[in-house]
Amino acid sequence: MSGRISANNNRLSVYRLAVRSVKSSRMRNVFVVLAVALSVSLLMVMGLFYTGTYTSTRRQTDRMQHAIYYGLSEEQLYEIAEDEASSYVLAMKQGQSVEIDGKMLAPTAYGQKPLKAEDGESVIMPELVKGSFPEDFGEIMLADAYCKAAGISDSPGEQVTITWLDGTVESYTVSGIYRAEENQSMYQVYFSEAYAKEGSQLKDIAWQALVRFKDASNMNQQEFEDTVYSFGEEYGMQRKDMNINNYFLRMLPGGTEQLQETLLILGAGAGILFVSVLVIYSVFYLSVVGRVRQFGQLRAIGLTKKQIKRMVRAEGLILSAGGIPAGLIIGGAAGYFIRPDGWSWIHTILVSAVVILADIVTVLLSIRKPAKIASAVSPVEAVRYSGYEQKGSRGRRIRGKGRNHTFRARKITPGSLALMGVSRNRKKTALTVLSLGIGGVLYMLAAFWVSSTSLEEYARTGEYKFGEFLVSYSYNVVQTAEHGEMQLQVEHPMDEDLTEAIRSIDGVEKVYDIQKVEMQWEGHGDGSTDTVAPLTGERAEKLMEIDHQGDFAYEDLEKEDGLIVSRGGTWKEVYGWEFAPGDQIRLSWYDGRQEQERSFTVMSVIDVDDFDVEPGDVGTEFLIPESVLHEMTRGMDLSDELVIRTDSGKEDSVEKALSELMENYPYLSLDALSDHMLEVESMWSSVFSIFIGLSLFIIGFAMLNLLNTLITNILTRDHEFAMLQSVGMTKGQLARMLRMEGLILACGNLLITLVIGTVAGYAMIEILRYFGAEYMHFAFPVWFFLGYAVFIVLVPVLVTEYMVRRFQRQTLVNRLRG
Amino acid sequence: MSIVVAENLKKYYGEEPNIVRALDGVSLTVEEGEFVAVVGTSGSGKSTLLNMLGGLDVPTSGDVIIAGKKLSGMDDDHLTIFRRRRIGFVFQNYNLVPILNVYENMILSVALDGQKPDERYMKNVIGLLGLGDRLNEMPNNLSGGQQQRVAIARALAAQPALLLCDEPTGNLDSKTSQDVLGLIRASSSQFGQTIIMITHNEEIAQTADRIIRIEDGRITESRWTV
Repeated sequence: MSGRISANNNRLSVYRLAVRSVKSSRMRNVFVVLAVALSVSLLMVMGLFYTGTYTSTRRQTDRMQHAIYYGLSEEQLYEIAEDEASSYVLAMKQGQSVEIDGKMLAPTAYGQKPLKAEDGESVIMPELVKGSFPEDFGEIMLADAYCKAAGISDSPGEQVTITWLDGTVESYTVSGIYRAEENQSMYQVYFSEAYAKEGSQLKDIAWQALVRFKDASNMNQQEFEDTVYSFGEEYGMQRKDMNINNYFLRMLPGGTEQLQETLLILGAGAGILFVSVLVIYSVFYLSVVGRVRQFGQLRAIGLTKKQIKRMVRAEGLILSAGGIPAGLIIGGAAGYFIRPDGWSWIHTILVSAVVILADIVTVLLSIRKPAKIASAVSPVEAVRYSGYEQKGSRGRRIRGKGRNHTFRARKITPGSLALMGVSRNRKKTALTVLSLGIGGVLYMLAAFWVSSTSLEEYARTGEYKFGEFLVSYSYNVVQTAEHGEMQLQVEHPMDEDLTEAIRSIDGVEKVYDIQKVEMQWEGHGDGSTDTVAPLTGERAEKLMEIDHQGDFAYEDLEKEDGLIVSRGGTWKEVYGWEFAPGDQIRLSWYDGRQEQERSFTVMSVIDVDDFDVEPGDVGTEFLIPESVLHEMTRGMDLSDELVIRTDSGKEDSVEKALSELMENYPYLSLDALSDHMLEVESMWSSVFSIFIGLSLFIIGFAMLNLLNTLITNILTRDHEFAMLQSVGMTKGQLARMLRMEGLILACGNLLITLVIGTVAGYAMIEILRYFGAEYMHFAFPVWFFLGYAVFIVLVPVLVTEYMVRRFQRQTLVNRLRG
Repeated sequence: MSIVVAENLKKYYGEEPNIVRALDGVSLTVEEGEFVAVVGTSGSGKSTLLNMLGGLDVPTSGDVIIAGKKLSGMDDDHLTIFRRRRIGFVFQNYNLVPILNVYENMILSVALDGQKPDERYMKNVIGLLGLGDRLNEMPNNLSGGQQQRVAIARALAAQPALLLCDEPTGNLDSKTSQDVLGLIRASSSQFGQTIIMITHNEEIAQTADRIIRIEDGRITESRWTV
């Protein structure tokens, strides 16, 4: 026992009081526990999503090649396998694809076994759904989605005949089926190693090697790149034949993406905690205000301010002890289902520990002020406490018994009483509306994201920006023509008859004729085939205005065999160098009679990001004055692709008419934006579902807060309502008053949601557009907002209805006794 | 003319064998303009009787007829409307609405009826109760005596036929009690109202026209004072 009289040696008693208090207020407990559980689960989901994504990427990259080397001989494969730097080597071949009914089929084969696999290393192979990988010469493995699209029975043992690009027709036995996404434009057909060596489609193709390096995970990005390139150079490979796995590269330290992601996660976490603070604060505030008399009594019988504070804090912690485990379980489960492939117990425990700590701090912060209010209650004031802040104010004058009395006489109706009810404690009302509003604003951001993302525009990349249909030379025909696409341009030009036939289709608004040719180029010791487009004097002037290196005059380009290169990120990545003004490029092409060659000087390099204005810009690497290009190609028709813009209501009929027209042009193929959209939609649907999931959490928070405010408001004023009823307020009037109170809060929330949400949404979209999301356009999410508004308005109405019915269970007399 | 008639009122709580008979067959008639004091020990059933007469509680059996209207036949809303028009309540703990100022509290029942208060009448009441300079105050800024005066003004505002007072001076000192009591009497005689008042105070009871004593839920005495 303490020797000092003033000492408080009664921590346990205060704790017991807190436990009693917790037990006595079930409704408040439900709200605090729910708020804590929601906040914990939201943080858990976020934390687990982040770590899960990392783990899943790590797990995937653990089973992925670090780099692919192309153009290898069998000897080189063995040399690579024997090299000490490599830890895993798998041989692979990929042959010439063929287009069958709009789907590309790519013949592919892996070595039967890896050439090297240290410490059980492996790479992800296609996921087998049925049967087995092909082992015999005549066996293949097909994608389930392809079988479905092509109407092939997806059972092993099935006989499939494929006509390849070179005209070879071969029949195979399906040994297995692997899983693939639907609506893809390309599917692999897997062959056995035996076929890779001797089969018609692969025997003349060079080998590729999927390689993993020792200790690559411990390197930074620069070290890893150096390792991959120097390894390839050691075996005489060119830079373009080395393909780094960027997915793995980004995982390594030394990049900016990781920092951005971490900052984003920390920001979102801080936002959630802030909303949690508001909600828990609000719940405790209402709970404390409703018990001011109780605190006054406790102070009167001898509890010190400190002890009252401790008691309120203990209540918070006891309730957190209920909410935290629930939140951990819910958040953990949700985290698992969102990223099952990224589940890791260690990460889950670490994330849980951080979340528990963050939420305890949140709870303690949230109840600091309410605890202070509780402890500041004096026993005398407690009796008079009504939670009403407002002092009397000026009003109208009436005369009474020869004296002047000034008083305020407001209109008294259920509506005005409701207004007085919510304004009795403006700080509390403002706080409630604010915390509801924050939930609403976050929800609106998610809604704006969804409504402002134009999937069509996202799909309208490249030439789809200008039209809904593309007519181009058929891939199969181009690949089989001796001189490639140019041969088709000479033999089967997309002439005026064709464009006129397309223009005459009802619903076709415009036909863009894209002119370009494919040519072989050599420069910097490398070479490949890329596109060359004609440049007009007018366009050349416009190009001078965009970001470019090297000044040029159109006349010089014409006279001195000058050429302009569009500079993108891929030059550096693929070749390890970039063109600069003054560089020499040797072009070779087929002019309709024979192969020609000519040297050009790079006069300017333009930025590819700005070179995306007219049809045909995307994918054009070199620009040559049109007079020069026409002379080089002996005046041939350079039409390479037709972009067809249609009346939006007539897309279907135009597609039908175009398909019929194309039957007369077997060397042409038709692509539709609608097919491309399917691919895009399937990609975005998962992104949107994550947003909608997050929004539901946020709405859950806002709802919890609204419910708590409404119910606590009603419960703590039971006695007041009984007073009103005793002097003549009918149940209908009471219900109207309470409904109005709820609706005032809901309207405040909706106003904040609408105004701030719209401003924030607009800002978000502008920022995203600035960073390149040009497919986003500010579009008010009408249905999302209306849905939210109906929900937010309906809740007070239903809650009031329920609470007023609940009152009826008790007699007015009992409620008056309080 | 009888303004209040109670016929064989019973109010039972719980079930046999633990039944509590708060009122056990009370019959009572009060004439217009009469001032009746109800006395009895704590738990005798005084407040229960008052609540039954005011329609705040429902009897287990028996009838209450106020100004010729049977309360038991009315639904909840009709009863509330009848109460706010014909019955004024003064509670021991004042029961003022904290969000309304003094004047708004006074005219509450009239306003809830969708009516405008009779300003002349209200001026009289305010003057009589001495609340002229307090009309703008909020209830929590008033003393107990002042709050009770506001409660009396509120009870009088609708010019009810019957004023039911449940120990209106129970929380007040003796001087203020005398003042409040005087005000209730004065207003009732001025406005011709009937008063039924519960009190513990024999001295106050003696000022009534009639004293009714209740014990164990039954009327044990009903006598006229001199």
